[in-house]
Amino acid sequence: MTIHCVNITVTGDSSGVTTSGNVAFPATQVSSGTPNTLDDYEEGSWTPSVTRSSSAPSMDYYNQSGYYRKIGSWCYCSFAFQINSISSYGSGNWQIGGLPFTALTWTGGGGTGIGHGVISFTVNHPAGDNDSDDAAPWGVWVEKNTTRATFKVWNATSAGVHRGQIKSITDSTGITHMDAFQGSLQYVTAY
Amino acid sequence: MPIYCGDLTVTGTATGITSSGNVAFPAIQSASTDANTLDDYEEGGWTPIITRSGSAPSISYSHQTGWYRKIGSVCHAGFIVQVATNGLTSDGSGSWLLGGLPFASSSTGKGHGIITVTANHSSSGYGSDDAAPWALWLDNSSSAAVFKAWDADSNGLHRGQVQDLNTISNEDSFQGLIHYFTA
Repeated sequence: MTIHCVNITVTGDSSGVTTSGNVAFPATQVSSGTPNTLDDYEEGSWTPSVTRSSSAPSMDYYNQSGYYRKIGSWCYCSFAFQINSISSYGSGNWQIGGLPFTALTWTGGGGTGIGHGVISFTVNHPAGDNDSDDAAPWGVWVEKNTTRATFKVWNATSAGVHRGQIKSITDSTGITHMDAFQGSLQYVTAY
Repeated sequence: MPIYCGDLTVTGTATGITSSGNVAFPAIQSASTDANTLDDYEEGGWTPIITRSGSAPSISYSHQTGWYRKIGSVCHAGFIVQVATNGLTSDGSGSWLLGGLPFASSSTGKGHGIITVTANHSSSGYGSDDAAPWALWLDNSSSAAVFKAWDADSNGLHRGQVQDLNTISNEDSFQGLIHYFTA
């Protein structure tokens, strides 16, 4: 076996190619502006929550869990949480908050709620609830330069206009005890 | 100071482990057939368009943004496209496509890549915003992904889609994400 190490500089920490043949990155990312340089790998967890764009609701959770894998500037996130009780609903667009990294910012406009990242999103309601489970996933998209992702909320009483979503969570009877949200999203991070 | 080189071969160019501890790949990919070799990383932008399989529609856009991250032979591409005011001047024909993907898909396995796509319509459009994402899929050796367009008048048969794309209206916008294997 011939090993060529020309031009390799190892700075004395544990980053680089390990004796196991894996690739170790610095614990603190050293961001690269070069398009062909992979400058990060990180895996960890985060705490998802429900929030709103104008004023935050007040609720507590039965459970909250989130996991992520960041490869370069691409972040994969999964999440699952279940609401225990709600004391106030807040206002504005409904959002998932607490994403592990700030999304890339950019200039330009677009439609409502556009942003970096996208996503699948599935909502379950408790068995026996008026509307039961939704069949289709919802859309949710990461807002640029934030750690939030917006999802659209519509009332099923609009007689099927908003497919894949059968329950309003805009009113006090919308979210109920033990409503659960789970899904995943992916986005470009700011670094 | 330990230096770990494993099976790494660096040819004297600016590739390999950098002084920051990152991994620099060649600007032009040197493809590997070894299943356990990561042979590319690339990040950049692309310009998404809405087109059709038969004849292309005539559309002007108020916004087109695409970004991608290619990790080995997997491409993750995000996009935001918005039709300009009075931007659709002819419908074209055939299946609706999201075109302009940054890399062609691989030649094997029809339907590589899976996808979510979310559509927003203008507030005056029929049904306003869709709640559910649409499906979007990519054929073999292609850089344009298909999405289904149905008339909402079929009253519930086609979930997650409330607007016939033959009636694209001002400022309709599309944003989403697609993942696929590159050639």
